[in-house]
Amino acid sequence: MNGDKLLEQMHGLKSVFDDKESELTGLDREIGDGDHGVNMKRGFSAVNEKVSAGSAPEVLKQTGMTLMSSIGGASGPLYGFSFVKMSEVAKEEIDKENLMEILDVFADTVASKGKVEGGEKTMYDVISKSAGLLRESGALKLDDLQSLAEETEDMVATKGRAAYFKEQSKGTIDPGAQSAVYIIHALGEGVGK
Amino acid sequence: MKKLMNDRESFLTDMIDGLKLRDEAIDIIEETVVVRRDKKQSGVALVSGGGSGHEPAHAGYVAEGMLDAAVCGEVFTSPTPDKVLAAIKAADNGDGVLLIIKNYSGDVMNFEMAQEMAQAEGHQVSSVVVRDDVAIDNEEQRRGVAGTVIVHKYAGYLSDQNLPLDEIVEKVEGMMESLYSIGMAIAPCLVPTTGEYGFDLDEDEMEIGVGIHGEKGIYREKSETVDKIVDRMLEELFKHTDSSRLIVMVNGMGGTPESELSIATKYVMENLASRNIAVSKLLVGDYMTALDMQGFSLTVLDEDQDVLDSLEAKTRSKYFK
Repeated sequence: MNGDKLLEQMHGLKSVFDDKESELTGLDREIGDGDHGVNMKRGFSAVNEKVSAGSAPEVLKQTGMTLMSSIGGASGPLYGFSFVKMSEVAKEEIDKENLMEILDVFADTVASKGKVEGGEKTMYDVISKSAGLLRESGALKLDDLQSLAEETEDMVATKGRAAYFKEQSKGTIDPGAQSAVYIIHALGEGVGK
Repeated sequence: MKKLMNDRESFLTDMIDGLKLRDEAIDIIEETVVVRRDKKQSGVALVSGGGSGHEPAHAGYVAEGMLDAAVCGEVFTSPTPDKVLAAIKAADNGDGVLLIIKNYSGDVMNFEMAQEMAQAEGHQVSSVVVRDDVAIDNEEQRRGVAGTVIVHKYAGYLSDQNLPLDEIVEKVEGMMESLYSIGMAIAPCLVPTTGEYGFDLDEDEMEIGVGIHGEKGIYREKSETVDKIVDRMLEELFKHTDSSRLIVMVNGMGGTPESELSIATKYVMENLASRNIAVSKLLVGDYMTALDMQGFSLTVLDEDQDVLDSLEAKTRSKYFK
């Protein structure tokens, strides 16, 4: 995946989040404050509008800066800062090997910035397992990523707003885990094609 | 959805344009940052903010005696670091900047990123994180709610006394050690950016332990008469405080009629009298709201002469009475 292909994938996330806005809002309304859908939509609309052609690392960096200044909330700095950090290890032509490295950086950044570990019912539960998924299955299929998000359904949240509900947070997929599915799928698709 | 608005994308900027028309003492920079028109020339500058939907917080407290800048995020969504940085730069007069942050992971992350960026550019910036909501057991995770407005007022007073940044931080942190709040709702708010109610509630139910973002409470219970609701809330607060002299705030959630706030206040004072607690200052009104949510929160704080003086001190904010 070169810069052009990556740009196409990032721009394409606008329509994904347009479609998924109400799904994410529904999840967030159960265990958060109901704004994750509209925030992700605003973030990737801005990416679609503002991120322009460049090398793959440049596109990742621009995407990160744009997300950081448009999403807000906790997902803004988490996704935004992660993309900036991911740009530092990305090659001009991202192959599967490089994507694994990129996904590892994604996971490490979310872990340190969000002070989160596995099993806390967050986006990290999807992100941290995606490099392994790519290594084992050779692809990042939507169904497989979705299964990772679904694993958060039975978890009890200990981070983020969902943590206020403790046991009552069970039974709902974490909205951040769900949005991470779409982002990682878009990155995987770019490499797969 | 019925709301007095044009479209959801412009909800925030339309609101800020309106605010500007209503208050000639403020200016807007970077589209969503409210600053004082007459910048304070000396003393620590106070910057707060967060998601919108809590009006009059935080923009309404940008005034002499209180805040120097408020960063307005989208509805119930923390503002981004670039906007917070713009606020810090605009407010800093060389005596340093104090960020007053409510304890939500988004607010903390965005404000702290801006703090690091500003420090890298040579600004002296400290922050305090308000976590007064006792509905959350885990002290580290407690949300910042209505008590934040008392922090604004106290810090504003200290800044006007020309105290240096580190002393203000120390005093504010000391004061926050006895600052406790709890909220309740009998009806959810309608969130303009999603067109959805924050939660669904049956006719005979209420939520105890609500935050200020339209999220559900920690306990869903059968609705009661207000005296019993007040007893229930004070019972939670008195798990945390044993002071016999308190400062008390009865805060409306945005959709609560003044009449009902007065009624709630009456039963709060009756309950406190029965516990032999003296109330040295009573604040009643819509200070920190959740759009049009119907309900109220109670905040208590140990009596302290310095804090009492700060609450009596003059401010030009028309929302702090």
